[in-house]
Order: sequence, then C-alpha cells, then structure tokens
Amino acid sequence: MFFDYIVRRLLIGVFIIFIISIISFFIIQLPPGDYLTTYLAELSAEGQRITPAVEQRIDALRERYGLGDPFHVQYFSWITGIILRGDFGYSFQWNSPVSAIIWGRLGLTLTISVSSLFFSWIVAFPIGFYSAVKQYSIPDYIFTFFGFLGLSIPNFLLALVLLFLGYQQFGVVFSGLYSSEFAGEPWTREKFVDFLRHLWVPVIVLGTAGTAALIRVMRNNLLDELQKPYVMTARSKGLSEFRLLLKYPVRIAINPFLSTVGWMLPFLLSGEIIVGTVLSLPTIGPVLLESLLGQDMYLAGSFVFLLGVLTVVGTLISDILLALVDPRIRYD
Amino acid sequence: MDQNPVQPAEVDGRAEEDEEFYMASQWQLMWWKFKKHKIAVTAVLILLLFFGVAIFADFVAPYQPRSRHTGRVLAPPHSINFLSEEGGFNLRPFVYGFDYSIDMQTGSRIYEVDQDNKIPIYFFVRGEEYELWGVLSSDLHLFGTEEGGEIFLLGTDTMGRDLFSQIVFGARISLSIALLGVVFSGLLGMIMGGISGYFGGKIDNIIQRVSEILRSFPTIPLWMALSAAIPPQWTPVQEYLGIVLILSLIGWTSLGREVRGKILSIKNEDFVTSARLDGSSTPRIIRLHLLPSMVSHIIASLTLAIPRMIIAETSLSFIGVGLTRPAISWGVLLEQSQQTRHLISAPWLLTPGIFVVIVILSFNFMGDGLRDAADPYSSLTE
Amino acid sequence: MTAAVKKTDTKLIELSNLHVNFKYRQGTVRAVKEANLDIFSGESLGLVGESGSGKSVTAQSILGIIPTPGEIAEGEIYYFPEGEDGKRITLSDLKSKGKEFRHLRARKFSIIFQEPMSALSPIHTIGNQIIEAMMLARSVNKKEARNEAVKLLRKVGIPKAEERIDEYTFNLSGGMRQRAMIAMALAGEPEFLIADEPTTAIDVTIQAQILELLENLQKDFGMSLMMITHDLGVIAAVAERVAVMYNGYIVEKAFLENIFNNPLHPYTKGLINSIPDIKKTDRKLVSIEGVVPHPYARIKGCDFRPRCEKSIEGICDQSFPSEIECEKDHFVRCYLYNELEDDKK
Repeated sequence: MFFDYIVRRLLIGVFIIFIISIISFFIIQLPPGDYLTTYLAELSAEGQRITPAVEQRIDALRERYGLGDPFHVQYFSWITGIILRGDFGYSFQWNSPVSAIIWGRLGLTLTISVSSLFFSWIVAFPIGFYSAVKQYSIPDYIFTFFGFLGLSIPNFLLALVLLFLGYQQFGVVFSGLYSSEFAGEPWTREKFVDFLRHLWVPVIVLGTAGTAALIRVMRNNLLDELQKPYVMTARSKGLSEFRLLLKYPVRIAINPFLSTVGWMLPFLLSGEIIVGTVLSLPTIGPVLLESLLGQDMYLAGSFVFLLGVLTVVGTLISDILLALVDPRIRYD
Repeated sequence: MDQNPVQPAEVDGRAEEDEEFYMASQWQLMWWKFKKHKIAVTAVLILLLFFGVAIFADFVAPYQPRSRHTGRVLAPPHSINFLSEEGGFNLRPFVYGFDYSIDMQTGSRIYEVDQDNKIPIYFFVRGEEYELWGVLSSDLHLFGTEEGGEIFLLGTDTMGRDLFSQIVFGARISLSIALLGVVFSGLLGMIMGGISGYFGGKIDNIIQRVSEILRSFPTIPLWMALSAAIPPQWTPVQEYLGIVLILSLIGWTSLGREVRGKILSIKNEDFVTSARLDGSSTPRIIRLHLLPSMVSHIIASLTLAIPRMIIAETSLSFIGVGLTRPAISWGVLLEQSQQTRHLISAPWLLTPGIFVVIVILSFNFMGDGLRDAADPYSSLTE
Repeated sequence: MTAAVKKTDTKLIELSNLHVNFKYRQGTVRAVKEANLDIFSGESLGLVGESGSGKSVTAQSILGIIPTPGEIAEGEIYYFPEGEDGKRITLSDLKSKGKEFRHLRARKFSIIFQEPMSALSPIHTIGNQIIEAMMLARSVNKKEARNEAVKLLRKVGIPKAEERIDEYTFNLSGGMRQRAMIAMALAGEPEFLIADEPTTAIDVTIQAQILELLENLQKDFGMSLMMITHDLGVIAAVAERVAVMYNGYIVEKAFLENIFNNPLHPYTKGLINSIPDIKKTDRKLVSIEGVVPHPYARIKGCDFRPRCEKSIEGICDQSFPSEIECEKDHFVRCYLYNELEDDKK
C-alpha cells in the first residue's frame, strides 16, 4: 500500500515536472525577439559596425540553437537535450554552456533555502506549541504580534535593514557567502567555517516571514487538536499533561506542519532570488535576474524550470515523510 | 429559598440583548464583532488615512514628486523644532536650513545644519502648482515654507527630489496596484473556484491541477519572467496594467481554492437542497443562497491577499523588473537603496519601507478582524 | 420501593451544590447549576436530557476533565473510596492535572465517549492506546500489558483480538471501535464507569449489543455505571435510577419505575410522552413545544417556564424552584409540588 502510494506520487510528480518544463520554456519565449537580436541592437547602438564575421557567427549560433524554429521544435530539442545529455543549452551572456553555470549556484540557493526551512521549523515549533497551550497569555500575544510583524516585512527590506545595521554597528557589509579571499577557492574546512559565518544573514532574512507563518500554522493546528475528544480521552486515562500533549495533539499537529514544505519551499526559493540579489550572493538570484533582463533564454529557462523541479521534489519528499508518520495517509 | 445568583434587573437586560442578538442581520452581527477587535479597527483608521493621503497627494505633498532641488542631493531629513537655540519657544514649528561642503575624498556632499537659517513651517501655504486628478488647478499645500525656504521631512533622494512628497505620490500606485491586483485575482479566483466547486467532476479536476501547479511554483521567478516580457516601450499606464495582470494571473489560486471549498461545504447543506427541491434554477441557487454565505469569507480573504500583492509589486519594482520610472511606487523608491553606498550614507532612503510595513501590517490586522467577524456565531456557541 | 434499593447502600460519589461555568469573552455559560447527586456503589444511574443540558459536563467534572474554559465555580464533589463512613476525598479540591487525581483516573474512574472515531487517536493503534491505559493503571510491563489487552479485547467481543490489536481506528467498524474504546476504559478495572452516549454514533442494529455488553461488564466488574443519554429507550434498558437534566439543572431524580410510571416534572412528562409508541394506532409524534434556551440567556425564574404549559404566573417567574422529595427517593424541582412540601411541614 505504501509502495503504491509512493509510485502514484512519483507519477504525479513527473507529470507536473513535464507541465512545468512547458510553462518555463513558454514564458521565457514570451518577449519578442531573442538574445541575438538584442545583442545586435546593442552593438549598433554602441556605434559598432556589424562586420560580416559577426553576422556569420550570429547566424551560426542561431542555426545551431534553432532560434528561428517554431516553439514546439525548440522546446523538443531543449528538453531532449536535458533528458538525454544533461545539456541545458547555451548561455549567450556568459558564453558558456548553461550546465556549467547553474549547478554550483543552484546548490547554494538550495542550501540557503533548506537551512531557512529548518531554521523556521526549529524556531516556530516551540513558539507555536507554547502559544497554543497558553492561549491568550501575555507571551502568546507578544508572539502573535511579532508573527504579524514578521509576515509584514518584505524580505528584501529586512535584508536592507540588516545591511545597514551591520555597517553602522560593526562596520561590516553583510554580503556574499564567503570572504573575498575564499572566492574561487576549492572547499576547505576554513572556507566552510567562513561560509557558515556568512550563511546566517540570508537564513534569518529568508526565514523570518516563514517562521511567522509557521508559528501561526502550528498554533492554529495545535489549538484545533487540543479541542479534539481524544485529548480528553487521554486525560481520562490519567496520563500526565506534558506526555499527553506530546504523544497525541502535538504528534498529530506535526503532520500539517510538515506538509508546509509544499508551500514553504517555493516561498523560500522565491525569496532567495530577491535576497540573493540584494546581498549579492553567488546564488541563482542575481544571475536569473540578469538573464531575464538580457533575454538569455536558455539560462533563464533552465533556472525557472529547475526551481519548479526542486519544489516538486521537495513536495514529494514531504509527502513521503508525511505518509511515514501518518497511517491515515498510508492506508488511504 | 432563592438560590439563583442572578439579579432580576440583570436578567431583564440580558434577555433584551438576546432578542436583539437573534433579530440582527448577518452584517450587523459582523459589524458588532469587528468593532470589538480594537487592533483591526485601528488598522482600518490607519488605512483610511493612507488612502486619503493617496487621493489628495498633490495637496498633502509639499512638492511635486519630480521636482528636483538642485544642490540638495541626498540631503538628510529636516527635524522639526519648536525650541530655538536660544531656548525661546516658538508656537510655529520651524526647521533649520542646510549648508554643505564636498568631501574631497569621496566626492559626496556633507550637509551641516545652519543654526542661523530658521525656516518657519506654514500650513495651507501656496507652493508649486498642480492639477488635482487632472482637473482641479491649485497651488495650495497642506504645509510648506514660504518662497526661498525648503522642507524635506524625510530627506531627498539621489536626484535631489523630496522623498516625503514622492512617498505620498507613490502611495497612489502602490495602494491601487495592490487593490486592483486583488480585485482581478479575486474575480479570477471566484470564477475558477466557483466553476470548480459547483460543477465538480472533470472540470474541477483540471482546474484543481492547474492551480496546484501554479501554487507549487516559486512565484517570484514566474513574476520576474513575465515582467521581463513587458516591452520597454510600453507607456507607464500599460506597464501598470501589465503588472496588475501578471500579479493576478498567479495570485488567484489561493482564493480559488477557498471559494471551491466553501461551495463544496455549502452545496450539500440543507437549505440549498431544499431550494433545489422547490424547483429553483441553478443560477438562482448560486445568487440567492451560495453567494451571501460566501461574501463575508471572500472579503476577509481578499483583504489578507492584499499584503501579498504589495510585497510582490514592491519586490519586483525594487529589483527593477516591475514598475520603472517615471512611475513612482514605493518599490521604485526603494530601488535607490539597492546600492550599498547610498544605503549606508543615506539610510533615509529606506523610509518608504516603513510605510510598506505599516500598510501591510494594517491589512493583515484588518483581514484578521474580518475573518473573525465573518463567523458571527462561531465563538458564541462553541 | 423496589428491589433495586439494595444496591444503593454504599455511597461512592456525591455532588453537592455543583456549579460549572464556561467563561467566554462573550459571556459566561452556566453549564451545570446547583447539582446535587449521589452515586452508589455498583448501581447503574441514567443521566438523561437534551443535548446542551449539561449531562456531559457533569460527568467530566467528576473526572476532572472539564475542557477549558470550563471550571467548577461552586460546590463540591466527594469520593468515598471505602463507603460513606470511611475516608472522604474532595475531588473538587484536587488539582485536575495533579498526580493524585491522575492516579484516580487511571485506577478508579473511567469514561467511554460517544464517538470512538474521534475519541481514539487516529494515528496510534488501538493496542498502543489500550496498553498505555493498562500501564498507567497497573504495575505491569509492556508485554504483560499487551497480553492483558488482548484478553480484554476478547472479553468485549472483538474477534481475532491478537491481530486487531495492531489496527488503527479507521480500519475498524463503528461497533468494533466502540468495543475497543470500552476495552480501554476497562483497562484499569475501574470502580466507576461513565458511558457518555455510547451508542449514539453506532448503527441501530449494534446498539443493543453494546448496551448488553456494558450491562454484563458492569456486573462482572462490580462497577458503578453512569449512563449519559438523550434516549429514554437506553435508560429503560440499562438504568436502575434516573436523573433528568434540563438546561444545567437536575430537575428530577428517582428510580426507573417511578420516572416512567409517575413522572412529576413537566419536562420529564414531556420526554416520556414524546416516546413514539408503535402499539398506538394514532401515529402522531408528540414533542415538547419550544427550544432549549440560548446558552447565554439568563431566564428569570424557572428555566423551563417558557416551554411549560403549567407555569404559574407570579411564582414560576421569580426564581428557580428548590428540590423537594415528593415520595421516598423521588426528588423534583418544580413549584407544582410545593404544596406537598408545605403539607409535610
């Protein structure tokens, strides 16, 4: 039964990824023209003469990537390249294959997002628990207020404020993910420690809104569960209050809490794009922005596509986790 | 003998109240309950103030948003004083003028307060001319200085434009774009959710899958990609409408899901079945029975969706793919602080952010109050 | 009086002028008012009333499991572990979540709820939940507890108990679920068992089986049973003594025969009249006019007055009547019987 469930989820996931790939490719095709036209326009705007050599090179590129072909042909060659050869196309801006640019950045984006997810969970869980069990207490009101505040600050603004405060208080500019001396260096223990020292800023910036939302999720779920008859049943057995709370309502309220991955991950990945740009992190944020503005379609499309894939995979993992902890889903 | 602890007088008062309670319309009940939510009421008042300011922006702002004050690039905010240096109290508030010197190393201006230059602030003064809503010509401003003076409540930006005036004008676009976005996505959500919930079956399945995919997708890259597709030669109005459309194309899913859920739960309730047995037609059932019981919830969800719209618009404009100058929104204003150099030397460039947070917070509290009020009986019978 | 009197010798639990209030922001709901009730060892007592009449809250207050924001506002609950002349424990003074009360709940008292589906945890096996109760009540290890649990499941009539013990509630039928719930309640071999509408959520065909099971178990274990129901049929089948509740008040208390043959309170009369009688050719359903008052409503005088045909102006609208013993062990709270009281004096 469990196996069936996973297979079914996997199939749905593959289907959704397929749709996402079409949407991604469609969206980046939306702007009129393509990178090469933009490039030519730029050259002539700069007053450069377009030599036959340049034209030839551009024609060759256009030919090679089938830029003049209809949508479905272009899509097909793009997607088969990805599936068969792991070839995501060519970045005209960077003059290099897309796959050479994306993986490292995607990895860092994922690291930051997942760290923020865990940060949010770890902070929100005890606070949500406390707020629910001590509903209408003064700390509950305080947490609720800060929850509202956290939800109301756009994360780029929070990043800006931290940037400013960091400079004003410590004379440090919080940006990047490692100090300049480690840039381009291979990963060593020192670089990793340095990395962790930089990681907290984007994690806090990204995690704040999510934490605020999760506190409310946890609080409301637990409040719902605390009203359920099985809590009274457990009390009638003479179970001590704390053990009772942990074994029954908290254990059950954790399920919807876990399933928040479904929207937390897309939310965090979204936020990382902006925060990465503000804090100039070596993640996909700044590169995606540039590629979109410059119509570097294979690069942009691959990012949009892979972000979608990541959320599908994340949701899949959370679905499986959920089925592991909740028999109701397993037997469904 | 009489063990009843309730006094007769109290009993009567209570009974009358009960009667009033039972006879009240749904809207009255909601209003009563909403009024009890003090923070929500405060939030509504704040929002009314903001909307008022946005509507009468030309009058409230001391300057037109695009007027540049040469020689006043990145000037810090003026502080308003009542006490002069000599200790005398002035009933009329005033600000001190600036002197500036150029920092030879960085080339940036250093402003110094000029104690000798007192600039009094006047209310209802004549200043720059404007046309309110394109029809009313005037030069009356809520406050300002006499000719030759200057007042920058929140400092100036990199072009020497008064930040406060720009924020006041920016409220127009930032607030209206969120409202329009919510109205559009609300309409879309209601149509899609309504179809989905009412007809069910295959149609429901397809719509559900589409909204699921949209929801599982990171929204910012989608928005960014769509906004990047807006041709640069579009006029500000076209750009504005384009952003509204983009925001709502992706924003309808959560409301759609809610409407669908509500319809599903109401659909099977007795009063709908009895209406159908009475021979009412389907549209009639929707209009007379389904809609009224949903409206309150929809209003609450729409209110709670506004903050998402504001954040989206502000974020997109901030990174440069949303609205662009000459349009002025709070996100556009914040774009200047993207450069760390400006951020550090002129932190007042962040002040539009404070207004963003206040407005979002207010909408969140208002939505919270509305949601509580949408179930007038809920906490009474539990 | 009847033969059943014998059983009512040793008092086990006493409610004395009990008030339970639920304080909400909108106002206070007075769920139980001025309740006086004795529960004797080994008897089966029926507590009957419409939903919202305070039956369940009365039961919950004895076990110290009133849900928030409910609390005992006034009055006492006593427990006599060794009979009325022995030790007396004031339950209403104990901390409901404290150790002493928890031990009592684990070993002496138990409750069966209306909806086994929601009263049992959906994500734990029934075995897990029964074993937990067993280990809280007796000093047994997990293995022994499991063996005992299987035995208990067999006893309550669950076939293939050794397999069923590892099932989740959603894999069991309604009847089986309720049997599992009963097994859990019996894990501590309680002296006092509350059954809160145990058959309401169950198929009519199974209801009788469950009631019979409860009756047999009560005799086997020698416990007191408090049967809470809105269904006089259930009362007739199980109870020896009956208390009728209306809007938080216990309005009538008597032995079963007296309640059915000589109901005194107009509300009790109404209840009995509204039992459909299939023998009668005239199949008109009789019901009590009017509705239960709104929980926040404060009614001047007797709470039943707005629905009462016999209410007396100038008397019934003044205050709630106090308790009168009209015949031996038959108590009623109604002004119609005040003269009887006066005559006695």
